Parts: sequence; structure tokens; C-alpha cells
Amino acid sequence: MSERRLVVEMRGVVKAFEGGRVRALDGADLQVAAGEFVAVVGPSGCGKSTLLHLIAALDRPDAGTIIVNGEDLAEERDLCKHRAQEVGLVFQMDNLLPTLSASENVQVPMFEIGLPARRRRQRAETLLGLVGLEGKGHNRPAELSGGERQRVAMARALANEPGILLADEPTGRLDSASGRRILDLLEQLRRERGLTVVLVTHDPAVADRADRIVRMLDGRIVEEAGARPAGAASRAARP
Amino acid sequence: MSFFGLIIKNLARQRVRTGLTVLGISLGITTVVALGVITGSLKSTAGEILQMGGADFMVAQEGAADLSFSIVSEEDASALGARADVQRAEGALFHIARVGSNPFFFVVGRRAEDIAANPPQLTAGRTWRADAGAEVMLGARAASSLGVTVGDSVTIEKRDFSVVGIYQTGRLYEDGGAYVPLAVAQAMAAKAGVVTAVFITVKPGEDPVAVAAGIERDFPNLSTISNVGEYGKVDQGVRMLDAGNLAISVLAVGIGAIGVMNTMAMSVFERTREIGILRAVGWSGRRILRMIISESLVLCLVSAVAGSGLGVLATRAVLLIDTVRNLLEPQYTPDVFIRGLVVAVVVALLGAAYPAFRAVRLAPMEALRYE
Ligand SMILES: Nc1ncnc2c1ncn2[C@@H]1O[C@H](COP(=O)(O)OP(=O)(O)O)[C@@H](O)[C@H]1O
Ligand SMILES: [Mg+2]
Repeated sequence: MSERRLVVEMRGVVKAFEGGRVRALDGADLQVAAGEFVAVVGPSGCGKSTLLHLIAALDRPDAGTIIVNGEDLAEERDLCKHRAQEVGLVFQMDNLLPTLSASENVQVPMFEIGLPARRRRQRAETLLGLVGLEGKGHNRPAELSGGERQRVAMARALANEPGILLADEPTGRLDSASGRRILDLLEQLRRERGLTVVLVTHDPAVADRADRIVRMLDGRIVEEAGARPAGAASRAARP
Repeated sequence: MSFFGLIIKNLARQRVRTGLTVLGISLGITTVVALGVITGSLKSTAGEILQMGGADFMVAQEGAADLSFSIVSEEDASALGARADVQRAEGALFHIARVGSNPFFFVVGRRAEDIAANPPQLTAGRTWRADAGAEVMLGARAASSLGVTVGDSVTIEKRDFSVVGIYQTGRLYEDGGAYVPLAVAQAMAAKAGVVTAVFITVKPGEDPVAVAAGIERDFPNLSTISNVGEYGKVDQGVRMLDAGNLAISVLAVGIGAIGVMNTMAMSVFERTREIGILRAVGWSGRRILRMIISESLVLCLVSAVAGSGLGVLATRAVLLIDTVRNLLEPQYTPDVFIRGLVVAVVVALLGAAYPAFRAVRLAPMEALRYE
């Protein structure tokens, strides 16, 4: 892992809310190599979502540096391009646009890379097929199950073929079969395209499929371990 | 899905609100267009007076509030005719009389020698003779609306005239009115020895602009009018029409912009979360701006089309009134519709500016946490 190129480097990242009373991230350090599958675990409220949002440049840290694909986000001028092309983010809530169909939702990020309408539609169809939603492109979010919505969100995150996929409990609301299917898909994308995956989860079975498990507590990374040998140990460890 | 499709979708989600906004702006545009058509037509009718007898320009009293109040002495009229650069100077007295149901019957007092020198095109009968006190020539429109012809008699302000000829000039005022001898008109209007305006034809080779300037220099009490644009010099009515027109347009823009702002602000406010999502998937502030402004433009352009249609219908409806029909022939010139379109675009941009600014300033995370 150490000889591979780092795609995410976070050093001493602090993010506080409510005038400093809530420190969602409190000196978080994280390094992710290209093609790696990292699972982030930790109790609710420990800052996992905030971590992903900062890597996706939806917000700026109060201190520390975040370098994605060699670019320091603090100096990045075109954050839109970063959000549209460098990373794909699957939110904890699916965050689909309710008035648009599944296919249209998947097409939304493609406007930013200037694809013509026909190509947008074709690509959305391919992506929906990839997440197992062929034939559901015309359905609106309200006409889909929670799991299906989450898969549409996954297809949208992959719309512009980002190198890094950030997924915030993407399998949380899926039954185990669809959850497995999503993980298989991520596996396949990693193999075929070298996709880097940072995935937040509560599910030990999901975390066990990762190359590495990162445990968070109170806004810090408290433990990092290779998945299989460390899986049992990390549960016992207290920092 | 195209960007335009997305905009239509966004507008379609609140059909009632979108519909009511379009209705409101349409009515504003209707007012602008209808008023534009009517004032434009009035001005063009007024402009036709300038061309009476095919003259180069008209001379009237400087500063008269209204052309009908203008008074030029017959001496001045003769002096104008005697100028070396003037070919012909015809003084005419305009008198507005009630005839039948028409309160705006246009009586023109002309001298017999002027008629003889420059006869109107007759469709029937003959011109009246010099000093023919009780003879009248009727315009073709007046004759047909009064239902009279050569040999019949008409009553204008308690005076009986016998119709000796029918003329056609193609100019609304004259064709809807009558020519009577100047002295008769002066008696009817109680304006002895004066005319309303003098129509000047310059000598061949003379520049009408230079002649007009010379007349204004030599006669400080007189004003020359060569085109409708200069009409305001003597006619407060035209000036008021222009001012009213502008005021209504500005009002329409103001009211429309507030309506659009209200609609767009509500729509942006409701979509705060969605705008956050768009930002999160990489949409630039510029694209968000374009989306909001485009929504506003579509709203206003639809309103412009609907409002123009309604404006045409409104002028048609107004023309059902007899009195109006005698005053104007509606002229649907492009500039009226362009004005409606400009009002719509200004309304769209003004109305969308603040909501769009708010939308662009939203930080993605803030918007996403919005409930
Ligand atoms: N925008 C925000 N405003 C205020 N507090 C926030 C905001 N985002 C996160 N927090 C707080 O920061 C902490 C970490 O949140 P989060 O990253 O969502 O945790 P996790 O995803 O691990 O459950 C929580 O206490 C949460 O309430
Ligand atoms: Mg979370």
C-alpha cells in the first residue's frame, strides 16, 4: 500500500460547528492510496459524514490540510470541477431530486462536463444497469424503494467516472442481497477501473470486505487496521 | 433531459403559482401593448394632419397646448405665402363638431382658391364654389357613416349644409370629416380672421428643413412641425400620450418585477435543499444562476406572447366603440410588440436577480441541511 500513489491525504483536520461548541472533526489524519477500499466505522456522531463531506469539498475545514489527487483543496480554485469529476459522493440520505426520474437524476452531474443530451441518456442507462436498475429509469424517487433510491444515488455518484467514490452508509437501508450486489459492483469497479472507495458503514460484514478499516471516535481516527486480522481485535480495543 | 427540459419541469411543479404569475405579467404586457397600439395609432392619425394637401410641413402657434387651440392670423398666413422660398402656404381652420353620434367630427375650413389650386380626390360630385355658404364636401368615411350622398343635406352644429361632393384622402381625420369654406368654419368656431395652422409647400430646390428654420427665426410666435416626433412642440396631448405610455410601461415593469421576484424567491426558497444537491454534484454557481434566470425568462416570455395576444384583442374590443373608431385606425407596428418584449425581459431579469443571487450564495452543506 505504501508504494502506491496517495489520492487522499488529510492532516490535522478540524471542523467545528455551532460556533466551536461541536467539534465534528478534531485533528483527523487519514491517507488513502489509489485503488484502495477503506471502511470507516465508529459510533454515531463521531464525524464520519463530516469527513466524507470535506473530502468531497462540500465544506471547508477550520484547520488542517486535505489533499485530493495531489491538489490541496484549500488552494483549489475550481471546487465545482472537483465535486463533479474527482469524487463521487453517495449521501447517507439518498438526496435525489424528487421531481426528476431516476435516469434524469443520474444525468444531473453530466451537465457540468458538457455531454450532449443523447450521450447523457445513454450513459445514465448504462449506469442504472450497472446498479441493477435496468428498466427503472423512468421512475421517480417516490416510486422507488429506499434501496433502489440508494442505488440511483450510487449511479449518480459514478456519473462522471470519478477516481474516488465516497459512500456514506450506502448499504444501510438495503436488504442483504442488494447490499451484497452494491459491494460486488464496487469490487468490480475497483478491479476494472482502479476506483478508490471510502465507505462509511455500521455493518461489520461490510467493513470486513475492505482492505482496511479506519475507526473513528470523537472526530479523530483512533485506529487503523487491515480488515481480516484486525476485525476482531479492533472491536476489543479501547484507545 | 435537456437543460431547457429541466427548466420547464421546475416551472411545471407549481402549476398554479406559475400560471398566476404568467397571468399577472401578461396583463401588464397587455396594458403596455394595448396602450402602445392606441397611442401609436392616435399619433399616426395626428401625423396625417401634417400631410394635408401634400404639404412639406405645418406651421402652428408656438406653445399652444393643443393643436386645436393653435391660432395663426391670416396676415401671418399670407406673409408665409409671400416668402421667396415658399411655393404655397395654405391656412386651414380645424373645428371639432358633434354630428349625429360622433362628438369628434372634424370640420376643416379651407379657402376656395386653395381647393382650386390643390383639389382633393373626389369620388362623387364637385368641389364647392367660392363663397358657397351652405355647401359642404364630405369625407368618404363620414358620408358612409352618415348614410348620405351628393344632393343630400347634413346638419353640423345646427347649420344645414347640402352635400356637393365626396372626397377621399386616405387620412382618417379628413375622410371622417368635412371641408367647408374658411369663412363658414371661422363663424362656426367664432374665430374670425384666424386659421389653426398653415401648410407649407416649399419652392422646388429649396430644403424644407432650412425653410422651416428660417420661418421659426422670422416668426418667433410660430412653430414648424415636420414630423410626428415634433408634434409635442404644439400638442400637449401628444406629449401626454408619450408620458402616459412611458409611465404605464415603468409601472408594468415595477409591478411585474415584484411579482416575478416573489414567485422566484419562493421557488428558490423551497428548493434550497435541491440547490444544495446540485452544488454537491458539481454544478457551478454560474449554472445555478443560469437555471434561475432561465426559469424567470421563460415565465416572462410566455407572458409576453400571451400579453401581446391579449393586447391585440383589447384594442379590437376598444374599436367596437364608435367614437374610438372615428379617431383611430389600429396600427400593430413591430415597435409596440418589441416594447412589450423588452418590458418582459426587464421584468424577468429584475425579478430573478435577487433570488438568483441568494441561490448562488448558498453554501452546499448549509443548503443540504435545510429542512
Ligand atoms: N452542519 C452542521 N451543523 C452543526 N452540527 C453539525 C453539522 N454537521 C455535523 N454536525 C455535528 O457534528 C458531529 C459529527 O456529525 P457527523 O459527521 O454527521 O457524524 P456521523 O456521520 O459520524 O454520525 C455531530 O455531533 C453532528 O451533530
Ligand atoms: Mg453520518
